[in-house]
Amino acid sequence: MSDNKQVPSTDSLTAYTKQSGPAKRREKVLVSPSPGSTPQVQEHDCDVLVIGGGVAGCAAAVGASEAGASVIVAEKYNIYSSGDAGTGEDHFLAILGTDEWDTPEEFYRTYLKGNRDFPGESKELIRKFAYELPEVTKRFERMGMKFKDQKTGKYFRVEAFGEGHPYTVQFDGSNFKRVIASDVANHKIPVLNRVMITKIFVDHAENRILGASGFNTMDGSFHVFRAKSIIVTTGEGCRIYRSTSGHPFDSWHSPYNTGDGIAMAFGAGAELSNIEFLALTMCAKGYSTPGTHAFFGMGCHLINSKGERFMTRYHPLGERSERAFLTWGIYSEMRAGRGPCYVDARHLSKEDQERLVETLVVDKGPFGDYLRQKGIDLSKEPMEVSISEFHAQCGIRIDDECATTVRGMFAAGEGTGSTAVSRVAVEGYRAGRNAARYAQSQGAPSKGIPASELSEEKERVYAPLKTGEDKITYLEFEKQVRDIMTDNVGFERTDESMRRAVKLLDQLTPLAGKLKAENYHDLMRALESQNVYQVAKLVTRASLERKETRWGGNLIAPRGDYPEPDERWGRRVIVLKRGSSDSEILVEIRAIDEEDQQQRIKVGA
Amino acid sequence: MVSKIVKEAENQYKQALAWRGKQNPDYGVIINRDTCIAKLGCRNCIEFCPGDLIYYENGRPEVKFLDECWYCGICSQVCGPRAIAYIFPEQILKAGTSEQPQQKSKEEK
Repeated sequence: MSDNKQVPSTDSLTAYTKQSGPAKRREKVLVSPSPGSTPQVQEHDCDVLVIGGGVAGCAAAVGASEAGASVIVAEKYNIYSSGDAGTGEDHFLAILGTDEWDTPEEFYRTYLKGNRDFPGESKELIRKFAYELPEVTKRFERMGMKFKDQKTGKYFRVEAFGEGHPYTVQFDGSNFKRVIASDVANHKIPVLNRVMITKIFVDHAENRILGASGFNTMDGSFHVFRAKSIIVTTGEGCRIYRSTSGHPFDSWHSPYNTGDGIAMAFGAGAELSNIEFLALTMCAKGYSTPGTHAFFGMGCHLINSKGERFMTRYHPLGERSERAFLTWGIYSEMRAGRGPCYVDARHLSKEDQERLVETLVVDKGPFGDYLRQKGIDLSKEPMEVSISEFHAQCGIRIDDECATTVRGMFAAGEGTGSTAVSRVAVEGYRAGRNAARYAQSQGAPSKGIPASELSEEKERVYAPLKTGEDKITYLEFEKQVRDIMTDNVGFERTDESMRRAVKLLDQLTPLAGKLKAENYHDLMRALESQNVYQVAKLVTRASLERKETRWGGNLIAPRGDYPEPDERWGRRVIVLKRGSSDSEILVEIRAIDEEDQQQRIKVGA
Repeated sequence: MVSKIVKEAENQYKQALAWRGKQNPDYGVIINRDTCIAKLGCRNCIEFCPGDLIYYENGRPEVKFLDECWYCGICSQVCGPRAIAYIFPEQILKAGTSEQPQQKSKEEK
């Protein structure tokens, strides 16, 4: 197999560095292929292929491996730092059994009360999350996650986002992702870092997974995977909206997550649902960064330009309400002419202020630099905030066993509507176990991907490297997508603006085939932006159908022309499916009662 | 522990300020070439950058795709000698103002 397979054996960074030391390591240099060169082809066989090595991907790989399947993880970057959790985690939703409310029963009850279940989302999915969470919390502690405060030796628990009880552990998780990735290494699971999967192949006649293909973003080699089962964990679709600074890579969640899995699953014929529900957060003006939980977990206030706290107008829990209410509150204050809004930490004790800054820095290191360079001292003045850009957090429709509607294809993590990192992990393990069980029920190995389909895909993947007339860069192309989305499918989206967006996006189709790349890094970006484009089209198409404004948890589906929630729409789910080509989107609006019956797709049946 | 993290960050920032004049462009991911240990075989920032923006060139790490930076802080976090710091681009710093509201916050208890 390829030489970029890295299997470090222990959990520390030093061990990783030693393992891939100068002698074994291939130097990472930028490669521009010579014209006419043909890429080397490498083939892999496995029971379960995990696409994406974020928290869900790592958990899925371990889950499948523990269930006895042979697993390969293909990751676009490096599993030790990729994904949204790569920068570190400052909070983890946990059940530790330390109090009488600290039980799965109570957690399930308050979670549902928080209005987090979305149309068509199975309650069973949430019940399983609650009941499997204590085990995953313990597992993480065994892996070396330091949930206990280093100074006091106790859990520091806070309540925010309408959690009902202080379920969240605030902790120093700056090495969060490296601990999780080390667990993959400890299970001796082969990881192909820097392999971007670009297509999932399905035998449509038998509705069965054949495998996937992708390319190495370092040396350009083409990788073919034959797999009995596939788990898609590539995360949400970012880069589809302009951020408050206008910087394309300044986003709340990782801008390197471009909804690849959503686009691939759609292309493979899996059903998508709820993709019109987008995630957004409150962020420092001009710097889309996490930290909302830290601010309100510590008890900060949100104030408007008149110096008034306003959140109780929008939710009885005030600043401790769910994220979507916070963003809705800020948006409404600004609409009412009382903006800009600020987050205020001046009333906190000195100790709490220090803890706040420290927590912010753990979640995203440069937050401290940002405050310093902008000249903001949180103990002396409030910080201006705004609402961030949207990203597509829902999409791939899964049942409570994490199975998609294509047999053998499972999905977990963001991109399926999972929000908290705890839930992403819990569902990752479950997807892994079920994918392994499915693969084991399929006796004979997959018959392989038809050569014609493979060569067609190869042609498509390497096309941006070819020279040609009027080629454009991925940035120029993506900017047009973001402009269309921000101007027409934003908070004020209306029927008319979205019909215009559909038309404008369709006009971009020829440009999507004219992207240029001079090296393999640019090639990856070009393919990413094709996914950004596809996700933008899917979001627009689904948003056009939902004729209400609905929000809850992290997510919101706003409409300028239907500004209120509508009971009837709350019982309907919008399902998208691929027609005869990727640009043909079939839309179906399903009533939820019928949905519940169809919800369960028997795994391994 | 609190002050240690904050102090480290402050030192790094000071170092970066000293280095920004010597680097082109003078914002973004600033690598202090004096303290960088790439010559000893360290490739941490190159390996761990979640966007694959840093490559090995001219015997040292070079940020080849600065415009694609997320300002996530991983390269600085994994840097042993703490040789990396960030200077935010104007685009991010200038958005919005840091002006204070007119009145003091009302306590609503």
